[in-house]
Amino acid sequence: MENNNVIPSYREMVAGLQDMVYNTALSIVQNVEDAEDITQDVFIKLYEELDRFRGEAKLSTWVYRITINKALDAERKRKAKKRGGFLNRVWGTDEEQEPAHFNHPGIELDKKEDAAVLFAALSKLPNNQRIAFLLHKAEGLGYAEIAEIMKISVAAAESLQARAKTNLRKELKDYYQKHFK
Amino acid sequence: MNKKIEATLQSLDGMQRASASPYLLTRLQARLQTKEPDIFWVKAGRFLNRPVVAICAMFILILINFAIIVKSDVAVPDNKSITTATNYGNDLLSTNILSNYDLESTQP
Repeated sequence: MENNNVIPSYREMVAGLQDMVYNTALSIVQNVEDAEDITQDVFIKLYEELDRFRGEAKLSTWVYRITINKALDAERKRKAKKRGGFLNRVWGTDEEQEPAHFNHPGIELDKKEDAAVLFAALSKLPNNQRIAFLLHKAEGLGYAEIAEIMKISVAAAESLQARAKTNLRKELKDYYQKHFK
Repeated sequence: MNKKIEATLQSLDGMQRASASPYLLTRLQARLQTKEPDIFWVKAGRFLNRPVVAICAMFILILINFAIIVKSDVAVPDNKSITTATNYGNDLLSTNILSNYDLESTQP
């Protein structure tokens, strides 16, 4: 890096935001390696585009948006790769598979099992409901902040949260009926 | 069942943030140092180097060649060239150029 005068502020920014970015990415993609790659991509983008940041929104809001977009892109690519298995389609082995259980490192030990089931159910939700739910639960954000990040109204953020919970209840009911008869 | 569902829904309550790798900044610095400049030609070269793009370009070239070959096989003989050849013959006849016949002629 030739701009030595930029490094201290950039360094501070990375130190201040790295866990926020990593935790958000990890909650969305549910994969440690992917989340690490996304975190790096986000900070590279920040380094390149910090000049364009107009200060209209909070820096964290802007960083959340970049992280969510990168995470959803990575997830889309991973799903496309899985779907693209030509032989799977030809031989008909592309049946709907249950996602592998993911253990978030920040969950309390006694809740780990339930949380893994919840993360599996979350991956079946529409993106906007999932993002609203995860920003609230994993990042502890309020509806106003979620609304700002997702560029929607506060009422819409609340509605997304409610719909996410309803859909999760359905998914969990199906899961428990299937696995604990 | 409902109790279990509610307990599962609340399992993320009080969760801690996951921590990023302690080597993140070092990795970022390494990536920024080795990053290629964003020049148009570098981007274009990278795009053209993709196997998908190269294969598509080759396929399009083959298609164009095939189309040209098929078109040239079906083509009707060109009337214009026949007319030109006839005209050229007529022009020769109309001039006073000596032909073999003229040389062999015994007539003055």
